[in-house]
Amino acid sequence: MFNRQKYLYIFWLIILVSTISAQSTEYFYHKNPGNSTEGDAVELSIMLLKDQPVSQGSIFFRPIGELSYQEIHLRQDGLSWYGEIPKEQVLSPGIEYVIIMDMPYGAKLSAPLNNDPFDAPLTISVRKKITQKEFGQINKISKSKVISDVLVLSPEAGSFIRPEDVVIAVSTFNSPNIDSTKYTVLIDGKDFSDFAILEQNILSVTPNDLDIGLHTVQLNFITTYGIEIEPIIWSFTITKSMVNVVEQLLYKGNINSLASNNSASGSSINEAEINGKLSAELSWIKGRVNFRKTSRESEFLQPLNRTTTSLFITDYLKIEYGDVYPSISPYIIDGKRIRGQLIDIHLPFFRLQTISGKLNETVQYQDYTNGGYTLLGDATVTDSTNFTKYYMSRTGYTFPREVNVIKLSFSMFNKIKAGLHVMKAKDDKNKVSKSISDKIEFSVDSLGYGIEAGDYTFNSFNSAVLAQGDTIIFPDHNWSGNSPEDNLVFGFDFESAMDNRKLLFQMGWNMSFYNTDIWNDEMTLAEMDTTLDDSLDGFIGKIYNDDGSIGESSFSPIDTLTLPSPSNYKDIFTINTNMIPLSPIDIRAMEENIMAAYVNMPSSAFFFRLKGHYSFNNLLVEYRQVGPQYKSLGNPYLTTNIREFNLNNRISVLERKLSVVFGYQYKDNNISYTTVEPLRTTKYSMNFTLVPGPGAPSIVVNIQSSKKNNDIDSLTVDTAGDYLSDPREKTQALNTLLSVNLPASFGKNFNNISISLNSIKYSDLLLSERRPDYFFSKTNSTTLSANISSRFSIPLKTNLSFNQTNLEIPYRDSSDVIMIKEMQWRSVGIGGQYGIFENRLQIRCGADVLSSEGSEGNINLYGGTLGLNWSIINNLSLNFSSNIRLNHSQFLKTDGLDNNSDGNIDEFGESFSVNTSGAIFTLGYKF
Amino acid sequence: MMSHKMKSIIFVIVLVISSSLFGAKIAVATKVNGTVELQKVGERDFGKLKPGTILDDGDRIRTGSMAFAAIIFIDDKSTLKLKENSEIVVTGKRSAASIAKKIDIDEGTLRAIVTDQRKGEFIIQTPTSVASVKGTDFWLIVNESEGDQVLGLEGIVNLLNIETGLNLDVTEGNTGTSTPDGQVNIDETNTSNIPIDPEDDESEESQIRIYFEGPNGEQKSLLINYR
Repeated sequence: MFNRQKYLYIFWLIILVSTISAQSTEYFYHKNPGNSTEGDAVELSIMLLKDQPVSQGSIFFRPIGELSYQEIHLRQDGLSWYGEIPKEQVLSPGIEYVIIMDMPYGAKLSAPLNNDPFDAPLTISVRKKITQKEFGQINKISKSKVISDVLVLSPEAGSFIRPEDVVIAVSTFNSPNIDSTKYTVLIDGKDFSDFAILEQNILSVTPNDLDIGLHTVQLNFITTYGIEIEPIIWSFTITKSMVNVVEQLLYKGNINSLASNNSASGSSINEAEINGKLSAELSWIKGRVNFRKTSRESEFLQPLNRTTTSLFITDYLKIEYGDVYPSISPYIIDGKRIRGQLIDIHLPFFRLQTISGKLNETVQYQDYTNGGYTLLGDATVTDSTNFTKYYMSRTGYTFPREVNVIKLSFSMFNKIKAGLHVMKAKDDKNKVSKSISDKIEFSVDSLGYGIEAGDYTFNSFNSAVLAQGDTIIFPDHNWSGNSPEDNLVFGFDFESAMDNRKLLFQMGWNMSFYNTDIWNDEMTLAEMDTTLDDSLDGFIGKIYNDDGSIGESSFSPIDTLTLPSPSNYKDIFTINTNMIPLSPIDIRAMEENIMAAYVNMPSSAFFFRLKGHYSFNNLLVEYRQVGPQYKSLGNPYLTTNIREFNLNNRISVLERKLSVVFGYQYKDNNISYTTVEPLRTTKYSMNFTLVPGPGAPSIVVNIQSSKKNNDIDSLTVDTAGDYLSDPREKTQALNTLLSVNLPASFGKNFNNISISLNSIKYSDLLLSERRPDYFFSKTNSTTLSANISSRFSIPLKTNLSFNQTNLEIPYRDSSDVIMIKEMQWRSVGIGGQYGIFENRLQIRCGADVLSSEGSEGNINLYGGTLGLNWSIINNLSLNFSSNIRLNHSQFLKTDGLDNNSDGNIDEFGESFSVNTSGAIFTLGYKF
Repeated sequence: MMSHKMKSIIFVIVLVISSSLFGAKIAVATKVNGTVELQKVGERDFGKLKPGTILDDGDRIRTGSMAFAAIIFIDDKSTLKLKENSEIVVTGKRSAASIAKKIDIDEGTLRAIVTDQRKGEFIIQTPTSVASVKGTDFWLIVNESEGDQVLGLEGIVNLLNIETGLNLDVTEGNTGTSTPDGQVNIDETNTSNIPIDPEDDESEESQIRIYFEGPNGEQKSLLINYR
């Protein structure tokens, strides 16, 4: 039953198709070709079914959309008549045509067969020319071959690759009409088609048995219309190693010279600089040199010049010399410059990193008065015989800081990683001279000891002192400038990957020893004894009662005779009374809780981190603590005295278009046993980020609530119990953000519009308990900003920005009444870049205005920029940029003062002043 | 007996699900060094990524220690190079003319050589930022706890911090940073900080000039351009 129905359907379908595509009447049979291709001639025919007395026949045709028809005469061949529409007239989207056969006595026979065939002509749909549209840049080579827009993805034509990197891949994405079932892949003429995969416009082959040398790939395709495509042919070379040293040497680089002038608040800086880089590669070895030389380099500053030479030998060895920027750990050194050398041996299961050099270079003195010597006036003494001792010291110096870092890491199958690291940094106090250039002066005040006040060099002062029969005391160390320091930091990292690396556990622990003053070298055991427990009894930790009897202690006293002398370790760390910590463990904390005392060692820093990537969740659980006495000179700005707990989960949904982040953070500074008023911060946050995809608007919503509590629950009062102040802090800050980024394309013009609204509101959670005169000093703010950046089809780029910030600043007025001052900052900026001479000369300019409305009046800052980038010849370019910023304070013109010190009061222009200005020229060459 | 309507609904559902599980082909891996793993979209486990592997919309790639991978998008040859210890999800929506590309990266270092996109943009999203690019070459270093660094080599990258909505354009020779506390900043690139690209210079054209001297002392040179 089902089969019969199916066959009936097929039968009627055939009938229908025949009816549509053919004009079959009792007089003639004509088959409409249906469709054709732009640029291909169309042959039409009509066969008379009866012997009709036809005198001639014509085709009247016109491209669709045209008004008039063109005529072509048919030629007769038996009962059939033929005609060809010329290829020039076969245009997309199609052709309308009518065939007219002339009969005797003015009779006509037409296809289509009706009274007025020109009202309903037959049509042929014409595809766009394959060679231009459907296959991109296609030109017809011959009648049977076209060139297609097939992208060679790998390997690049003419490239040199290693045997293991041979992947032949092409994309037919831009040639959708390629027949994915009929193709051949030939490599050096050998057919690899059976090893190729062509799926969804990607053809990929990975041949494994190609020899070293030149190889040629040929791909043969046909279109779905059966048209053969011009073969895609390209060559590449497989090399194993240094087949030919000269051929494999690749290099590139650039060199730039720069001259600039910048002024700010009347101070001007001129600078000339030359910088460049050169990188070269020879198969398995790569080298790179970067340098910068500046006219600002000075013996009185830390080096501003930079030179780095890097050598990479395969992926396993890296050697850098010069200015290196190692990143070992945030707790040790993390990108701080070291002038020295870095060696990084990186093997699959083992890694060794060593860095040695200087964090600081020697600076002997500063080139200004009191920049090298200083007279310690307060220390000057005169004895009863009127003999005066003048005490002098050195200033303005910086000790060279030697640093050595080593990190040893192991990894096992990408599952476990562990590393140990040590950093030693120490100032070399012997490299700064006591005696410096005699041109350096120091000031002498009126001491009343006979020496005239004024500026002296050391020799002139010494002569004056000796002339009076007095003396100068100038010690060899303990100068009044910076003290030499010593630092030892060590620690370890550990990582364990579980569940196929979806779950990562990471931890690290570090300990620091920091000596703030090593002028006096290491201490003796006796000094250690008195330093740690106040009594010189040969024991550390032995406590005595007032009557001299031995008191109780939580741990056994240590006999100093059993301890090694600190001098044994002087090369590792200088142990003396200036070291931090004096004792790694807080002894008072040990009496409370031994475990807590070890965990909270004031000079330790550690973290635990758990990261999970499951389903749509990215989970982070982290605890980190940095003790109040932790110090690494390799990362001196690390925030200390902090412990925090973070819980974060980022959920990605809607095919990662929407991510929602829930966050919790707790932070305090309650590490030390002695902290009395810890500040606790608790933060809850939620973030929604919608990024649907390229070209679509993205939206960010962020809400964050942050509470601070300093654990103080009472007011400060004087001895009489009268109120002095309210030090309690229990506040909440609510930070909300809405940001929309809207890309918009209009034809070939692309615009990006971003709008954001940010609000920070503070509230006092103890408001109901406060006295009426309590001053809550937090400032609320609301910021609205918008930016429109546009790129046009002509080489023009523009940027328009607007920003408005409203502030609510609490203050006390002259009557001590608490008021709110509302301020508004508003800025508008516009900038653009236009390219001329085929974009070889790009001109940039911009202007902006920042206005501030306050109670004292308006202050406006006007800014302007102008620049150009000129590609002079192929690799030589000149860049110029300049800027100026003017300050306009309206009230300066009405304040009755001579603000610009020109003798006139409140004249025109007094309210204007140049705030900053600058100009930079750069000439660069690439090779 | 299941009705025809029900069958049709099931067919459509299966079609939709299968199309989401087995995404569209969008890129191909052309270079793989070291341990590089691939989690095909819809699958739970990672397998080894081999050179020549065709990548689907939604595939996840991660590199191990000392590993490197390069993938090329099939519509315009935009290239992504992944350095060690990196993890990305490659997404791309195919249209007739192009592929709209979006890369999600949680951690690691990548170089993107993006050809001028015919439509829309090429987006890279990190836990901290969204980078929108168009005809650009740049390095992106992503650290979930410390934030992102964009080192511009060519073109412009718009770097948007998703914590505060602040954004800036990173241009050639400059480094843009976007931190988890919501700040964005731009500064001149310290060239020592530019990661090493294992494939760098392979496509640079160089020349060899060979001098020939004839019997009469005349000199001619043969200039060979090669990559």
